[in-house]
Amino acid sequence: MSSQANQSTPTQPVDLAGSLIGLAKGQPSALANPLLEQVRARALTSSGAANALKERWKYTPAKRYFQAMYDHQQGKSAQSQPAIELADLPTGCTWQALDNDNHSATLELLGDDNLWQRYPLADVISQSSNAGYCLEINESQSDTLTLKLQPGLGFLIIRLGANVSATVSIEYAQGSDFAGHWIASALAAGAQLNQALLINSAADSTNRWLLNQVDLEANSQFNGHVHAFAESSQRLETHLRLQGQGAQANLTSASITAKGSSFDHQVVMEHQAANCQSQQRIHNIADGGSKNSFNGRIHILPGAHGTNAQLQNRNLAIAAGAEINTKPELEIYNDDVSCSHGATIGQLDEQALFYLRSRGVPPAQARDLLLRAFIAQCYGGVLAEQAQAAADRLLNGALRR
Amino acid sequence: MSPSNPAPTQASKTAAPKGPERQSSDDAATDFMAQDYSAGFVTDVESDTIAPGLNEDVVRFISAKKGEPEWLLDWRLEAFAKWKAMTPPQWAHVNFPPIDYNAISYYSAPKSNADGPQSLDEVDPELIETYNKLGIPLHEHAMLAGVVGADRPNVAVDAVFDSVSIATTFKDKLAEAGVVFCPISEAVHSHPELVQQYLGSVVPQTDNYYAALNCAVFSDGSFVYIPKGVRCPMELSTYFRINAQNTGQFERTLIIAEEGSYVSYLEGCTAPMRDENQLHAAVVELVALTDAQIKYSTVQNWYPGDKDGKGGIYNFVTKRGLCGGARAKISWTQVETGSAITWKYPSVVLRGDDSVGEFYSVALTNNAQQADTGTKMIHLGNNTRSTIIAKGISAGRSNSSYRGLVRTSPTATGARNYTQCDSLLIGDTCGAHTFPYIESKNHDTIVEHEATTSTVSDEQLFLCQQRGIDTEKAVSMIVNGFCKDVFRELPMEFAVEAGKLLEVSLEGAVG
Amino acid sequence: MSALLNVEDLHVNVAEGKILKGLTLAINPGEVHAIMGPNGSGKSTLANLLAGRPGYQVQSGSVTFAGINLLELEPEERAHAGLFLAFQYPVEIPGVSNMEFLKASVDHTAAANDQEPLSTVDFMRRTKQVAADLDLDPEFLKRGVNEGFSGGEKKRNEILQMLLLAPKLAVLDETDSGLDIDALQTVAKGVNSFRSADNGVLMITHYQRLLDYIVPDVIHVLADGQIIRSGGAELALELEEKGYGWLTDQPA
Repeated sequence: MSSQANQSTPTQPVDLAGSLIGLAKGQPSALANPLLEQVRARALTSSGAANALKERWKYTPAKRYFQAMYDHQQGKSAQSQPAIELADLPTGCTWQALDNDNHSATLELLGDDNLWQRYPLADVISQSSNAGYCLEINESQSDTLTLKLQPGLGFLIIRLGANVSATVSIEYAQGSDFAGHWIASALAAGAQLNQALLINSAADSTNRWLLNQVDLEANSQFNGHVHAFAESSQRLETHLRLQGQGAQANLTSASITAKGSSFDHQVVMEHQAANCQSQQRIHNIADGGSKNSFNGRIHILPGAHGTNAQLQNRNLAIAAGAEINTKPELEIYNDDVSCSHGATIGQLDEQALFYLRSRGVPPAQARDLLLRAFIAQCYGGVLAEQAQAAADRLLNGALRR
Repeated sequence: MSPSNPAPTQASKTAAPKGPERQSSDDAATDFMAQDYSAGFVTDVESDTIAPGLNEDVVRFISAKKGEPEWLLDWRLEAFAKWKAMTPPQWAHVNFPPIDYNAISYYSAPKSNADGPQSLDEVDPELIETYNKLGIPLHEHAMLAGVVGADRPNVAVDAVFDSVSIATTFKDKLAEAGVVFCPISEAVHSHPELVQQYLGSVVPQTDNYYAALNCAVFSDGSFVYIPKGVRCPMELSTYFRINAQNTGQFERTLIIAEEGSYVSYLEGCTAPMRDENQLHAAVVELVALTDAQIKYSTVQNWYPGDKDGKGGIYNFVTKRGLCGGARAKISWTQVETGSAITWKYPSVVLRGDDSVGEFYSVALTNNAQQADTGTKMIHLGNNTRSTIIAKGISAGRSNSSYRGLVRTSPTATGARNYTQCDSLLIGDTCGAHTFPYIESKNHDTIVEHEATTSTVSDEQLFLCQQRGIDTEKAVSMIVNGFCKDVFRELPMEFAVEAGKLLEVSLEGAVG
Repeated sequence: MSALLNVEDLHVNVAEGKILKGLTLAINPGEVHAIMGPNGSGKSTLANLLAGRPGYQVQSGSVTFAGINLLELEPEERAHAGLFLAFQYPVEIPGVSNMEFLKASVDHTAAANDQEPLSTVDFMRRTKQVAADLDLDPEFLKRGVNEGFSGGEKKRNEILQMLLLAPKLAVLDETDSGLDIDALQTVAKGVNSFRSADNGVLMITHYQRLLDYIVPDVIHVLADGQIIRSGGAELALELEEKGYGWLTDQPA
């Protein structure tokens, strides 16, 4: 491995560090922004951050993503359509493309040292001109706001005003080799955001990479529902920061990796303020010849008294050659917490199988039913039906064999 | 469950009723430091110590001191060359300044018996006194006379003082059973073929930075060989002590259990109080062949440093067992209360079909201590099973992390693991962390992992006080209850010792 | 008239040892039998064995159900043949809705018997009707199978399934355990409405209480893997009065 690294040029990175350095050297800064340069320098030089990055890429070849991102950056003038589209703009909302002038102030707000070091995707996106948008939601919305993620690089800031509630659904458009997006939602005090995300793709060579960041002020609430059905390679980084007292975050995530695909979901649940709650339920299925990886980190800072944080992660491998990795982490600096996690890797419940058979359901159908139920427990929000259709397609494929 | 009477291990957020004399758990934590390190005396023994520094000559010197055969010197030199190209691991959740490996002395032996004592009579009386202070009776007669209790089973003891083994007891009785229990430096001469076959077979030279260093400069340690079908007639025990200043201890232990044999091995560790940090980089290798069982228990009470974090042992240890044959079983039990920094992951490679790996751990950190400890269960064989029970207790400004890996390979059909990982925090200035890696490449496996976090709640303390139990005793009771699942796995003598050790560590937890 | 269920000299082992030691039993259509006995006598073993739960080894003897060798059938084939077990501890299946589960059960059973499946509308209508008869809220059909159900709800759910599947023989394993008196009456009402000249019921119970509401034709006392006494409904009263010791302590 090391000999390969020595031969590589900056444009052909072979490892994470190499990739970052390659990007730094090979790409002229799109924005002459001292703040961004500073942030980027920190992300690239700190050895502690480099270690943490390596850890976050343990189960997914970084090269694939960084190379695709780099290639895209090189030819980015070809990107003509906006990277993120909003179907309709309802009343009480504003939609604004961010230009170089209002860029930096916005980013300063969203990124701190930790975030930049952790997410090179955000780092790179932030330097792509004409990639950023800001959606402000100032009135509560009864209808769902639908976002479509187009190929390319883009970021979107969603701001919810105080006590505003809204539902946002996010889906991918097909095509292209690379889709890298950063969606940062900022919830003002008392706001509620329901977010449904569907990462669904036919088998193609696209690398889908999404950073989903949510910052919660006091007494705000986030309900997130992730549905990821992979026939290609997908990576999702979910970072929730409970910054105000009494904030609440609920996350469900259902994923299936089909043969030849991979999905890597990295969640950070960061409890910064007192009396916040978080609940996570993550169910993953891996078919033979696929890789499904999950990392769920609950981080409770010294000031976050009265925290209640739970995570349940269950995984099923349904055929030989399936690979499952899971790492539920706790990092706790406070004794006034109620905090637990559980993770399992296993097969379907034999008792449930017998119960179904004793009611006349043949084994294959019983398995099918239990499998669909297993994953359906984590469908949620406005995309639940679409998720089910997408999941059925993959499961039918898997179960036919 | 009544809210006023929560189970001891459950976190609770409700404020306790205020009482004028009652002390909150936070106050308790603040004062959780006043206790003395009872094993922290220095023994005034004239020792034969080489000057600090590390180079090839030092490696050659150690090898020559031991009169080692050429293959072993070559092996050391090879490891040393590899070590020079390696870097210390960065991933653990611990912080310490870089270690100057040239400031450490790599060999220290009590001078009066530089060639090693031939019998207990030749051992320096000061050393005997040292071990007596530690509560380790070396004199077989004393033990046989029932000094430590009439129904206590016989325990054979090997004592390692700085770099050399001082005395091994019960050799004759063990020899009758065919059991070999001797310093590894002796085994190199008496059983060279076994040492050559198994040394480095479980922990390769380049396994990690500290293991590589140990390969180059290891001084002494215990060697155990249990022949086929033999159940070792008594517990085997080694006590390690670092005495000399500026000295590192790099012991090496090798235990081989042949087919169908059984051995229970106990290990205890202490060190004097010194202001500078001392390095302890040991390697322990266990080999259990078909149907063999090894039970390895540790009570680690190295000097943890003072309450400001000055001094203390860096305990960077590599322990690994190989279940080499079908139905082999290796069980690690550890109680870790000492050391400034613990970096230790006793692991089991489950190669034989139906083999079993177990890890039971209590890690208590206080003041500025840091512990990053856990295990690795590597499932290679069919129907292999592993169990992990890890209890971390954090107090003061300390940090305690569980780090574990459970891996099932494509060949491990039917493998099962159960992991339970609990943290207890005392006070709001400490940290408790859990980093479990679960990797499965076989679809016919079941892995279960659970983790919880709790505290010693104000209500619990209040209830105890109201029932006439002082807070200090209450904390000790709750902590002992929290650790019960692990203590149960310790041999009787050690379970008592471990319970006392926790109690001592918890003295002064409240003012 | 041929027996619906015919158990001949049945010997059954589990991993822990021998449980049934020569059990013989015949149930004709239209009959309700009750098996009573002390804990550990083998009552639940019989129920589980009939349903085909893995882990029970038949050493010798035979079980004929509606003229076929029951022991050769897979669990679902036994269900299709008309054998129903109301479980003592119904398992929870999170995520599978009760309705979905019932539909799968009814459809597969119909298909296996070359019957036309009920239309979804008819199925829903019928299910809701039966649920109402058992005092079960219709919302209950949308919840996961037995997920978060109370003890009483779980048992009523078993009876609901029995009524929908209309089996030839219903084996009720300790269906009365954990029920309050109201729930017990509801369950009994369901079972009594199920009774007909064509089907049979085998009730397994520890207590006489259930028999006040579902009056059996025959009562068997099972002890140490064998039926040691059979009689009419009056036997239950005698047992209630004297306890099992009255029979088990008698010299053989």
